[in-house]
Amino acid sequence: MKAPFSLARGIIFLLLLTLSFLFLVPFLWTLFTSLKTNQEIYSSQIIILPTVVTLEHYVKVLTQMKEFVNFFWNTVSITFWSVAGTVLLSAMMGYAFGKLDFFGKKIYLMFIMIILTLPYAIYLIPIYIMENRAGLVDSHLGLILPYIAINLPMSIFVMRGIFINIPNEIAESAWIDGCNFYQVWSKVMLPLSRPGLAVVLIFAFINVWGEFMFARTLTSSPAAQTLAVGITFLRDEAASWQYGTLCAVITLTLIPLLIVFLSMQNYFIEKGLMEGALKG
Amino acid sequence: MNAMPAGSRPNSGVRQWLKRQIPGYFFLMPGFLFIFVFMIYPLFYSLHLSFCSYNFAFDTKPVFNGFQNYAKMLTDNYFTAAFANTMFFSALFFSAVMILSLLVAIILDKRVPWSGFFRTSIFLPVVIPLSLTGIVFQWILHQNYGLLNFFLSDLLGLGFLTKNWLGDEHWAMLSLVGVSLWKYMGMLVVLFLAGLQSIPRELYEAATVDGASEFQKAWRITLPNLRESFVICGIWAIIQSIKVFEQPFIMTQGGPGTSTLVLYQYTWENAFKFYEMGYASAIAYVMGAIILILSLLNMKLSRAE
Repeated sequence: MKAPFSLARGIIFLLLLTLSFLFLVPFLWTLFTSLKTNQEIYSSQIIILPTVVTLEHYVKVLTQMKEFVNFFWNTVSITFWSVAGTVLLSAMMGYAFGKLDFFGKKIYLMFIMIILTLPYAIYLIPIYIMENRAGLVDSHLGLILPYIAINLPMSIFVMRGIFINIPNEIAESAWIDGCNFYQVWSKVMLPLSRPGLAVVLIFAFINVWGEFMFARTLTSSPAAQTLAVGITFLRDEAASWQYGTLCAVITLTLIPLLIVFLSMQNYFIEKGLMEGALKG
Repeated sequence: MNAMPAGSRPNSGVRQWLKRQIPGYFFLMPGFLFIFVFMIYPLFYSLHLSFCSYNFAFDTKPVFNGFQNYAKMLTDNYFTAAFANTMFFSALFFSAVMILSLLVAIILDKRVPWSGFFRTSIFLPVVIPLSLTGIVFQWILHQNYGLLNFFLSDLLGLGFLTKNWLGDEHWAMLSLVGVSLWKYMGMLVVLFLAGLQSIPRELYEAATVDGASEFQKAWRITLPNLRESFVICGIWAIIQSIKVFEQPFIMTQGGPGTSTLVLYQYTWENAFKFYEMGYASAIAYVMGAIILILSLLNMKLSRAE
């Protein structure tokens, strides 16, 4: 566009700037608060920027709050195994749906489609009853297994899309070279599907790291609880709870997410989103 | 690709056919086991429960009671309130999120400086766990110590606009819609952008040559070509709005009164607070049915014309 529109463009730019600011305010507010002294946080006049930057809240969280450290390691362990399981199984199933022929393929796919749109509440109630009988409630495994299951449907569609686009000739020549069906997948197909694997990994990571409903329902003690749930209990517990510490905890919880998101954002905003759009 | 190289004798009997199934099932089964145990079986078990009376705390086994759970909903005031609230939330959230994200996407699609920054900051909330979002906003919207009221009264001098955002029954639901917009808008902006970018530029050039106005271009080219995006975004927004749970659960606990009690929370409370697994399953199925009906309706409307 040319000069005559520059006023309109200026206004649009300012509007977008305001909008971005609105989206970023909660992050900035949390970060700033976590760096303020208690005196500033509880002063009668709200102070936006900390005048004295202090790390006391972080030190307190990391050294004195055993529960936070506990929640953090639970989250790391549960996320690691759930993501690993999701990536491996969706790479296998995506391959089956994308490249192989077998009896009932369409019906299986249709089922997975339907499952994508239904609310979790339908699964959560039976899963709770089952896990209760199996003694899995309040264990890491009791969360990892359903997390793998709920992340699979969307991941399968992403992987299927990737495998469909890999030319058949590549697999056929590997077959002629003497690979068995397992080797064709592991040595030829998997390396070619890396972009899809990355999308699946990032989505599963983000879904599991902050998942609330399953974690809230299927765990009952700090031994198995994750950050997303633990934080709400930390907040509710006693009057000793303070905004500075709360904000430090939130910031620490967000750091791993922000690192993953910001380092791979292009990847993640532009590719694979269409396929991932329908998570239930 | 089949496990057998192309060109070998086709259909040489049942054994050959069975042998061809092996690779497919080998790769399918491990994952399918998870989906079966944690989703497909629960789907049917839940359906069964929805026709049973089953208090998990007292009963040893579900007892079949026909349509009693579904009939109970009709006379249950909490259910009626939750249903109405969910519909209100959904209608408002759906229209707001669709219109606003489409507008922002159209603006970002024209070349504006810093569009990468805008896109990232609008998308960022999508990756933030809802429980953290809930806690931070509960504080930001607080009547006395909240940032929003401080901003309105002390910085803008609009003291009359300050509210008890989450504690006032007229404003609590609207506040939740606002928080949900903050959380989810980025997703739809990105999806609409993808749709906009797939429209061939030549269409616009040809229209310009023919002397079409900006409005005509938007109406005749942009909107019709976005049909697929409307379907995907629409279904996504419907699912997100019917299954709203964490925002009220963490921020308002359904209150004040029943003004923010939604179906999902009512299901959850029935199941895990009162242990009425049968009734809870029935409500969950009603939610599933609403999502299905609205999604089909959305698909029909978007593909019509």
